[in-house]
Amino acid sequence: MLTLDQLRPGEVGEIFRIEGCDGISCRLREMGFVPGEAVRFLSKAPLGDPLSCLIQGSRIALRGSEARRVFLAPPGGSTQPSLSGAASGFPEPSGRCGSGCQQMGR
Amino acid sequence: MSTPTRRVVLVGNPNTGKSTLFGVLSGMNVRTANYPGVTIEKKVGWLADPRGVVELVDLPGTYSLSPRSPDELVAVEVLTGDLPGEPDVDLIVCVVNATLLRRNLFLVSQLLELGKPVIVALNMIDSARSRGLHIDCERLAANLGVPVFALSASRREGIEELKTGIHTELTRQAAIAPQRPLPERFYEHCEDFIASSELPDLPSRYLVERAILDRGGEAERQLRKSMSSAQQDRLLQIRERIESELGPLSDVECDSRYAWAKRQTEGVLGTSEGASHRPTQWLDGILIHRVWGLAIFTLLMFFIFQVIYAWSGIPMDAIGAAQDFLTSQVEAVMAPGTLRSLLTDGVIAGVGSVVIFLPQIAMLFLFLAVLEDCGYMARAAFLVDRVMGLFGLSGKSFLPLMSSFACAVPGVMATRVIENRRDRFATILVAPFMSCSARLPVYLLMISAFVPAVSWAGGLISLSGLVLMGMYFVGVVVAIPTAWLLKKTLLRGEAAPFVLELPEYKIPDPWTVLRRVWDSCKAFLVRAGTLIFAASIVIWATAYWPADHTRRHELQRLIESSTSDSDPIGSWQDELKQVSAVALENSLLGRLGHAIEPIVRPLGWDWKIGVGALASFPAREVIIATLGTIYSLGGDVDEESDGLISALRDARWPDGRPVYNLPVALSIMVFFALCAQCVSTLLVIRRETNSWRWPILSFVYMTLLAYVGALVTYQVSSRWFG
Repeated sequence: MLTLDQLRPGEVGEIFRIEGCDGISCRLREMGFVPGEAVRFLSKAPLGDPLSCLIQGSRIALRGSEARRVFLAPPGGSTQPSLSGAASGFPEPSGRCGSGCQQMGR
Repeated sequence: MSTPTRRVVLVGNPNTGKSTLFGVLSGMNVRTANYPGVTIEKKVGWLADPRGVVELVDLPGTYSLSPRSPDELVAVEVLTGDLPGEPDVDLIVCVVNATLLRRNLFLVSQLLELGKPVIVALNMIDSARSRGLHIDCERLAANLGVPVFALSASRREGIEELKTGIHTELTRQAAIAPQRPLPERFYEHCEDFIASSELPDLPSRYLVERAILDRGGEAERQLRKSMSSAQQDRLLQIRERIESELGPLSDVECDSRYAWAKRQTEGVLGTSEGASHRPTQWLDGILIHRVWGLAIFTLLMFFIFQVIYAWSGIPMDAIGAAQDFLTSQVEAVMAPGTLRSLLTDGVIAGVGSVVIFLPQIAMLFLFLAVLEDCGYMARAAFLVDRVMGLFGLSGKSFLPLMSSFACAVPGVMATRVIENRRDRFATILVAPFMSCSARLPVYLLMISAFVPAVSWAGGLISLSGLVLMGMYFVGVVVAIPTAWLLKKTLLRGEAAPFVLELPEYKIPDPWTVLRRVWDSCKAFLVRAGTLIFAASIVIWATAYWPADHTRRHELQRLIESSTSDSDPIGSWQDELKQVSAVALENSLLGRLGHAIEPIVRPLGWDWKIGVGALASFPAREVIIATLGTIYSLGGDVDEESDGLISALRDARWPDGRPVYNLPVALSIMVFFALCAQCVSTLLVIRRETNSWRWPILSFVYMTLLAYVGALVTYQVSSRWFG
């Protein structure tokens, strides 16, 4: 499945799900990475990592390892995402949080 | 006053102009302290107004109230009233970035769950307007059920209205019901859990909800501490039951909150002309460009380093001159004696050793504040994150580490920009390895005395230059594995998110910048300076007692009161130098030097170098003056004085071999490169980490590393060159 780090500069994708339930995934959600939201890939840092993107009107820098947790909806699958963020219909929550998370609280 | 002081807390996402607003509301009179046991700063100001004095507390910027570290938990506990010894919060002012309203409402939705009065301060309304973004504040206030004030803190617009709003809310007595943005079933389950928990000191309802919501979060960790294993199982069961009904909790929470935010902003947001980020987009095209971005960054860093390293020399020299002037004034009115020595060598020198850091601190924080406030700092972290990955750190550690090459004291203080505690502590612990300017005199003295004057390429490359560069590398080479090791052992834990907002560029607010400089200078003077001063007095005493100073004072008196040319001043001065050397040798410090000689022998050192190294634990540059005293040259020598260089070259062991050679010089330099010989740095570490544990750890491991490093250097190089 396509992840955020695989986009090319200027490309826009629609977020399908965020992997994980740890601090990094929480932070991503708080900062606007939520299913249905459109994200535009802006650029990579000069040394190849981190990368920057535009989401919900703000510029966010994140590492490749973090961007790989942001899964994107297959292009043309749902309605065309718009950058203003008016999300139209969340994808079904099938397996949105990996089973690995269930172990983490123990 | 009859009523107790009311308490208002300022909360908000980073980059919402919260600090600027805090500054505008509270003026210059701000008190900073640490909450007990954690490193988050407690900034308290006062909102003075005819309607009554209000205490204003500024919390660190945060994207949510979902604590994942002890520090974040304390910030939440201040709001919920769970922190012992902290008064209850009467009103929460949530500072919201008007240009990013929907995302900022995530935090607002959590604040409204607390059941406390909330005001939304819609800041940066001017930039929203200039982007063609219209916000219907009345409608937003009606939707949220709390007052909303549009304002621009940097332009001082809407401030009076906000102040009035704060006072109006404070006088309202009505109870406030917590809002419920999450699915109703979730709250029902939580209430069941609380009702049946049978725990005597359960935290507030919000923290229990967080303990259920945040798997592996800090609220859960804290709650579990007070629970039996059966109760812990119940916590997990309730979470599983909710998840089986509603789906994964982290998804449920974020979906519900964003859906809530969307409902609140319906009919509130209007755009005329497409929201553009043109200036920021254009600037980013240059400032984070593959070539230009790095070039500008390098130039900028070089400039900052140059300023801290070289330009601050001017005010520092002035401070040194003032110190000399004061000393001479005291010497003019007082006869030589213990009290005078305490005043000049203890008190004045002690105050001087504190004040001397101020120019560097002020200059570094001026740059930091400007870069932070204009939005460049986040870009700098973005540019060098990959490089700092070598240390196991993030891009945010770059500037603190780089400024430590000038001086570790401002460098350690600058780590406050790193919000992750473990990254911050790792940076603090390796910062003193960066070769600061106080090490330079030691390197210069040793190099000019003992490194052969060989050069190549027509004088362009010299051996001295290479050795000097090598000394700067030693620190970095040791810091990399140390930071890596710290992150794997003492500071291990869940990987910190790098995820960083790159805010819009803006012109820095001069008031905010100056305040930041003032705050850091004040914090250093008041909270580290007093300790540094006390330490200097103690060190003075160990170098003074127990020795017989009668003849020394007598000679000083003779020299100072001499009026006739026929007096043998020259021979008095020679005798004074010898007597001073003997006094130092007999003092506690000198005796310690003798006592540790067996320990420093394997490094190729004699007891005199041992005393020099001991005496320079408070501040490494002291070794030059100490060596000057020990070799009977008087204390007024510097690293370029020929007298000291030839005295070192002529020093002999009892069997006639020279004490110093290249291996000994290298071993001394490596020792000074790695050792924590700076009381100021250690005490600033104590202040910044809010614990004695970390400065003691720094001291112990750096001293051990320095010893081992010097030992290896001497043993290897003496076989090579010997």
